[in-house]
Amino acid sequence: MTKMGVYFYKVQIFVVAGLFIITTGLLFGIFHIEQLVYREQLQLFQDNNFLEKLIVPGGLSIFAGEFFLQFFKLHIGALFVTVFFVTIIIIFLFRIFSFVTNKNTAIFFSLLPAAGYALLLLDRFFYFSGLVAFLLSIIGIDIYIREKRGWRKFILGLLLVVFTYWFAGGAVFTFSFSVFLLEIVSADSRSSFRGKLFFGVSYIVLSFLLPALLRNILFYENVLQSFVSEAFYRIPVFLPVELILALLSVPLLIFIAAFFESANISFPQRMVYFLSLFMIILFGGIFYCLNNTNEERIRKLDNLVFNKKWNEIAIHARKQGVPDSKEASVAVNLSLAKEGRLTTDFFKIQGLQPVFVIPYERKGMTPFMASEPYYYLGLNNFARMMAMETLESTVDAKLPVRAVKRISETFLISGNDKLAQKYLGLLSETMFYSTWSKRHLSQIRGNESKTEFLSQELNEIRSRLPDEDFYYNEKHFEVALLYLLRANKHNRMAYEYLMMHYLLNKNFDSFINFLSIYSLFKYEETPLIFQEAKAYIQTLTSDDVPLLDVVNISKNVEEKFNMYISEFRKGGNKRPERMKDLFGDTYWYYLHFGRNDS
Amino acid sequence: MRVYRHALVMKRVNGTIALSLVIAISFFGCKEGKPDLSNAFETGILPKVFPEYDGVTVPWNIAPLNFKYLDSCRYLYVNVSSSYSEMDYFFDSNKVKFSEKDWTNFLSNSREDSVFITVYSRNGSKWTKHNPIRFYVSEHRIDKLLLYRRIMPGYQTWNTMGVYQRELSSFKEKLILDSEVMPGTCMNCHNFRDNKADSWMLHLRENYGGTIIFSDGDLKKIQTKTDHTFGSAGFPAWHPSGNYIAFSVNQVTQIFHAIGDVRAHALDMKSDMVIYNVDRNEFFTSSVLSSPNAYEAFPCFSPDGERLYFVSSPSGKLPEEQEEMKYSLCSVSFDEYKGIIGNDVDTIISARTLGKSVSLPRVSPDGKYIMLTTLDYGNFPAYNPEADLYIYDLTKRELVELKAFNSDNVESWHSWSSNGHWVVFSSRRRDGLFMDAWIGYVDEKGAPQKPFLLPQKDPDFYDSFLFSFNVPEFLNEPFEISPYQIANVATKSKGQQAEFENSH
Repeated sequence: MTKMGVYFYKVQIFVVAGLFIITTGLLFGIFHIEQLVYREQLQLFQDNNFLEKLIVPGGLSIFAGEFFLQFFKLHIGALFVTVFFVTIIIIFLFRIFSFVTNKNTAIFFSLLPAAGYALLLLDRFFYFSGLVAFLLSIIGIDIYIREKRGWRKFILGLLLVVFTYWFAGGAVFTFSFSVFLLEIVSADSRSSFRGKLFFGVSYIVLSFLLPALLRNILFYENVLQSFVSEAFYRIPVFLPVELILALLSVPLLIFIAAFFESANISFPQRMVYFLSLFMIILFGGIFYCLNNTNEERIRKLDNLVFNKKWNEIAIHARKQGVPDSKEASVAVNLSLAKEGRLTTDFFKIQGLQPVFVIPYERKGMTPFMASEPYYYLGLNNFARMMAMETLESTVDAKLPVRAVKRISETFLISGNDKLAQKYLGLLSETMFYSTWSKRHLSQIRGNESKTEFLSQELNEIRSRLPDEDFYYNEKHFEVALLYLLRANKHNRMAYEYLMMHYLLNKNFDSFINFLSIYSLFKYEETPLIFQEAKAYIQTLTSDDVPLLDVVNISKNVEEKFNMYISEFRKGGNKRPERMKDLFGDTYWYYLHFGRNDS
Repeated sequence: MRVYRHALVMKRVNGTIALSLVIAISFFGCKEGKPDLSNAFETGILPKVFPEYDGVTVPWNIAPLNFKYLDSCRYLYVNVSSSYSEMDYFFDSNKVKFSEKDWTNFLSNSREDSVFITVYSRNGSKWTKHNPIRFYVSEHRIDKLLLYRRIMPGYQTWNTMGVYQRELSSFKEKLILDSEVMPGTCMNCHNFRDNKADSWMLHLRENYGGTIIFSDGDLKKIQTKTDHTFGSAGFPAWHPSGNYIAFSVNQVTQIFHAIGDVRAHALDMKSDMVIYNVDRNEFFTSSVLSSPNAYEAFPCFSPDGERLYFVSSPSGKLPEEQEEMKYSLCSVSFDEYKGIIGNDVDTIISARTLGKSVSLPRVSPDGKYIMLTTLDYGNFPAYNPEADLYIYDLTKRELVELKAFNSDNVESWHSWSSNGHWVVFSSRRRDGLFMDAWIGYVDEKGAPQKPFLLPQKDPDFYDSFLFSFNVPEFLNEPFEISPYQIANVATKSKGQQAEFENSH
């Protein structure tokens, strides 16, 4: 190759690799970033368990995966770590494929497994540690192929099988099948084919033998986990085909590359270049198709709730509507109630369902979202219950950081220092929660009085706790709200939820009755839905209802209501579509036609 | 592997190997020359330590009572002495961890004697001497093993759990079965015949649900829900002959409180009792054990096998009348040869007279006493902070509170050692949430001594351990069936359907 040819070749590699990496970054950044961030909340990193991790297969990958997953708390961290790992994987794959085939096609072969692993991250059950494990296995291959001498190489290969299994679990099969094929296809004339075959077969046999042996003498695991380890997939009894393909993609591509090489099939540089570009476009297309956009929208709301960005949630929901999910509606309703806007904005948000609390559902982090309204309302015991149920609901039994934090908070609120310490202790090991937890730990140990060191938020929640006992029953949420208001007449969130509950259930008597404490909440403007309700109620009775006097109907509402009556009388009841266009965001429309969900 | 705590990883790693690894990398206290303690400042009070051992009675074959010093210190010097022996330890942390070998020798030489642990602490340059911690070493040995389930203190659901056997003279723990081997399977209701591993059973729920029974060297799986019972059988008790297992069949529901530290209550909405004939794979019952007007639960056979004890309450409207549901201790005769349940129910402790409910009767191996839990109402004491242990003298017909064992939180799920001198029970006394295993001594007259917390190698263990010790039971010989054997039996078939025999 001429000097210029080498130069162009290098440029081509950089362009292709760079394009792939940028594409990966853009795809994750635009379409999947909230789900990446959400991963951080699914498991808690605890650095004190390093040795414990090391004594189990795949442990190093699990440890490293959890360590890097901490950075997923930040959007930029999630993106950077993901792209960084994809980049490193490409670099090592390129080194390996350059060994097998001409450098011209090596970059193309390198992108395929990297793309496969990037796509696996779209599956929420696939662990980030799987990416680490895969990287470890290809580093192992890279070390192996650089060793040239016979028996020394053989021993190195055996050791690498052992280390790869122990540090990267099932990625050992990527290693052993790859080096087997590399041995077979290698043009090394110093070793006989039989010798190379012996080497390769030995590695494969050892990679099967090792887990089979160790599960009987060192640890107890179900068969699948013994071979694959827990570094890859959250469901311990299931091995998805995609994961098998990803694990075997490198050996498979080594075989194909070697076949091309031995059959002297070569491709023009430009063709490889365009093929690579096509592959990147294809990757983008597959990524887009596989990505769950609805899930992304739900997770966005979820992440915003976790970060208490109430206003942002409301703005986002007004702009984009609410995805069809109970969790999403709970999140948006909570943000509105927190901001005192539930009784104004509820009907203005497309797709928002009248779901204020959700029952316990054994589905990942769902119980955690169920805990959020209870927590902010002051139903501390129920919030803790849901947070603890979240620990039990995650399919892999890993401790979700959100739930651990919430449990600590609920114990801090109830003044149970001993138990607060226990859960704060877990958080103190993390990078992003340690300052918060260590501050509370030192204050607990210093016996400071609770009100002194509890944040304003925790103190506020404390002031909202009910003072009478009752039982959990999410079907009768209003009962809990009544107890809350009886304990603290300034619990505006409880009031917002309660009044909205009455209005949605067309329970006007109770609505009117609770207007008696309306003035306690010092609304700057009369809630729009109260105004609309009053306008409607006044048409139902000729009696004077003094309690309704606290609700001032604005001119706009009055005019709109007159328009509504007029349209309704003109046969609007038979033309719900027209009524929806004109009044879909009003309480009156809900009363006559139900929720405008479209 | 899905749980992070040290001991939980240990559970899965076969004893010796993992232990050696951890030993190799852990710091251990070392015997050193005695520092000059002549000028040590004497506090005149006991040191603040966890766990507390002052005043407890321990068996001579118990694992080292490691502890941590709770005040700040840089160094600790510990002198352990009895009339016959003495040892000194120096630690450069606040943790006192004894060598297992030294401890075993020391305790073995100190039977029927008081042991004094004098703790010297040093923060700056001066040593501080505390009053000695004193405990008594009983001549009565404790059973070799303790079997328990470890599970997070959840509410309605569960995730990872496991059943383990722990050597009581050391810290070795061996897995019986856990969620790693059988993911998605709930396992509990383990029960042994006479603290031996030759006849035992383990109940599994959800994935591969069924009851695993080991009897006469045969491991089998059965399905206990029959057309005549409203649910699967649980809360077992082996008959001493090994031919029968008494069960209760319960329909349990839970309620959750809005305020306070009592997070829940469990209620029996329905409850009957049945007896399983192991050889015939057959259940039978009688009207006295499954009356429509009463709830019967928590069976227990007398050591001679001639009486069956259980608790019973008139049925009621639940959950409204839950606080009226008070269980009495009852018994009926049982003819093991004919497999016949007597018709006359003897009410031993009347809930009406007592004003409380009783639950979990456990007859002592000599048949003289019944240990039980009392609670304000219901029969599931696990959540009731008022649940306390009592002992009933069958000869004197006298119920006495085991004050030394009780605290202001839950005490329940007690089990006798095979010599009847040791009792293990669960208690939430440490923090109100986690159930721990406590061990206490009971003398020939049924009088208890102050109990101690199940010792752990690392005194910080309980600070970060996120699991409860559920249903602890003594075992006098090791459980030799491997987790894979149990898993094979559990997974390969649905299990034999137990029949219901109506002629009783």
